[in-house]
Amino acid sequence: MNVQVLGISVDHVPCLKAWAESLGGISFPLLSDFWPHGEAAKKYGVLRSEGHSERAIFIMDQEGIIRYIDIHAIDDQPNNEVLFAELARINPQAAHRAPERKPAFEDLPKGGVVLYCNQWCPGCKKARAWLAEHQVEYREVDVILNKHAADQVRKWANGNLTTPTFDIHGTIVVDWDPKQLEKLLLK
Amino acid sequence: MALKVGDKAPNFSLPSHLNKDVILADLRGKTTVLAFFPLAWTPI
Repeated sequence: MNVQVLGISVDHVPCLKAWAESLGGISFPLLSDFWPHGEAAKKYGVLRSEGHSERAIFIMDQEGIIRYIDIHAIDDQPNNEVLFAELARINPQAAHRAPERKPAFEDLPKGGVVLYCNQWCPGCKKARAWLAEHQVEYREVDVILNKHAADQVRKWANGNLTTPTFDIHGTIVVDWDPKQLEKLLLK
Repeated sequence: MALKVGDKAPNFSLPSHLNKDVILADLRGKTTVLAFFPLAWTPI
């Protein structure tokens, strides 16, 4: 796959070396954004006031143009399958090397409660917890792995792939909105 | 100023744990995944 992965943090080089060693070696470069402190993170808009960066993924195409941005909660880890799906989209030649689970065109569930989500979004996690807490039966569709689902959500959400999006007995709720859920499911 | 999809990736030159400086602009022709993580000893 003609893909270069770069890790980057504000740690200094010896620290990154020690860490890579502790993990049994890391073959892609871990970059040290230590001095001037966090300068690259600043350029990418991901430097936090505490002095370290957000957890964020940028994917650049072969021309150096940003094609994908994912900035997520600091305790969240991105899902590799999601990244591979994005890579396949940006660099189709890479697709044949991507893992088995390629985006599929599966039929969408009809009726009942359907949660359109992905594996990492914090709102999706809240939604799952909320649905479990209130013992709501629901089905889950991953919008990264199912292209029909992505198209459907974009239709509902003015072209955005907003997650979570809910289909509650035919009523669409875009984004995490517990008040709406309460109204539709608990009353 | 936040970056958007479609923007040119800002260039940088940084030292790496593999003893080699990496210049982003040198990676033209490759799809590049840049993964920012908060600090070492946290999941990448």
